Amino acid sequence: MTDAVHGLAGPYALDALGPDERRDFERHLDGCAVCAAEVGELAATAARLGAAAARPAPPALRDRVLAEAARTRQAPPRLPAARARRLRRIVPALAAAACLVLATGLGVGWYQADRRAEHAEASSHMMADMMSAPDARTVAGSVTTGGHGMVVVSRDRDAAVVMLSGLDKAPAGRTYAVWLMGDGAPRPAGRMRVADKPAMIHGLGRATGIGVTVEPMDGSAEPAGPEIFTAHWTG
Amino acid sequence: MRPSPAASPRRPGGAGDPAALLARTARGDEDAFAQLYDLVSGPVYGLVLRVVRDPAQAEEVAQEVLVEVWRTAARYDAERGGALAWIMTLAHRRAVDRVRSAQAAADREERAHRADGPAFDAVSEEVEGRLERERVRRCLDGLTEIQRESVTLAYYGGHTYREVAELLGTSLGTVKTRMRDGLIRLRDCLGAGS
Repeated sequence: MTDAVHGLAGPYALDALGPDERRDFERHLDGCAVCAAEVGELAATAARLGAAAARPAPPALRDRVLAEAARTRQAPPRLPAARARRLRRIVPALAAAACLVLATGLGVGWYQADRRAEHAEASSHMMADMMSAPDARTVAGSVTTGGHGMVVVSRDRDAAVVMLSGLDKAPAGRTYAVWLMGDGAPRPAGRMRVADKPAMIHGLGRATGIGVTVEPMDGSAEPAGPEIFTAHWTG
Repeated sequence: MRPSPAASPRRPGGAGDPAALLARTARGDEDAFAQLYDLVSGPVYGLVLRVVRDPAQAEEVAQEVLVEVWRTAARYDAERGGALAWIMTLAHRRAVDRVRSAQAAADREERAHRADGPAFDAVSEEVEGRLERERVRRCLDGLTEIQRESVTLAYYGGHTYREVAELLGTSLGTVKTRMRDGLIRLRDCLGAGS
């Protein structure tokens, strides 16, 4: 996406665009799930500003609203096909760190920690849950073999999602190992194999970083193999 | 003291969880909608009043918003954020649309501007939501002046970023960037403080 459009994320989240710019930006959002995710985060923060302005509503409003609702037909839900399309759009796009758009089929790899095997839908929900955590933050980094990585981390959820792109399958007999760092010695946080899902890491504790190394399939007590990716965040 | 439901958007699962109530509302459950009303009417009305300023108009807009929540509950998409955030976004959008169309009308009629309403500090100090209000105020204080002014003039003032740039005598680029930086810093501060 262009910087000019990207720069409108803040004004959009604050409803500070004029009607034409708003329409253009929404059209752009439809095609850029990373932007949509960022806007979602910014809008959630703006909503906190809104909630801070709370005042008791006039008592008479309650009856009027409930009465009007009772005689108002509800809009139907969106159909599953449309939902699935959006999910497919949002998940791969999240991997495109810093909004680099990676065409599908370029080997965008998703990795799933072995110890968890949720279905894609559940995984997407977990990702959505992570993205909507008020304290969710995104840390981007480079994959040493080329490609990009992104970690969404939330202390509230005590979890992180790791997304790597441009990574081949681990060499024979080896696997990608995820480590939590910054809280004493690196702690193993699961192994990753090529999959179509991001890796969900639970139990961050006080870790302030995530690393990925190549390790023997049967495990390592500490990171010993080549470093593939690291990302750090502040406490 | 617990923060009010309005002040803590995250309380998953329980009866006071806006997302659960919204899901039941989407299935036509009027009791759930009434509970949801009790949870969100304060934040919705307060925000709309803050932007629109005129209590009678604020009440009208709040009613539109809350009925819209009922009408479109099934369209709420959890993947795009929390339920309360969705409702507040709806409320803010409506409030802003109202002041902008009112402003356009006022400009045509060359009517005098309404005096400023209560400042942030002067909003009613009911116990509900006080913690959240204090937290938000503290976090707003942590922004640079231009970040804070950019964010609040747009969000509470209902101004476009072009108007904000004019009001602050600064470039469009600066205002756009400060809005985004300001929100990111706010998010980090609010997350850390909750």
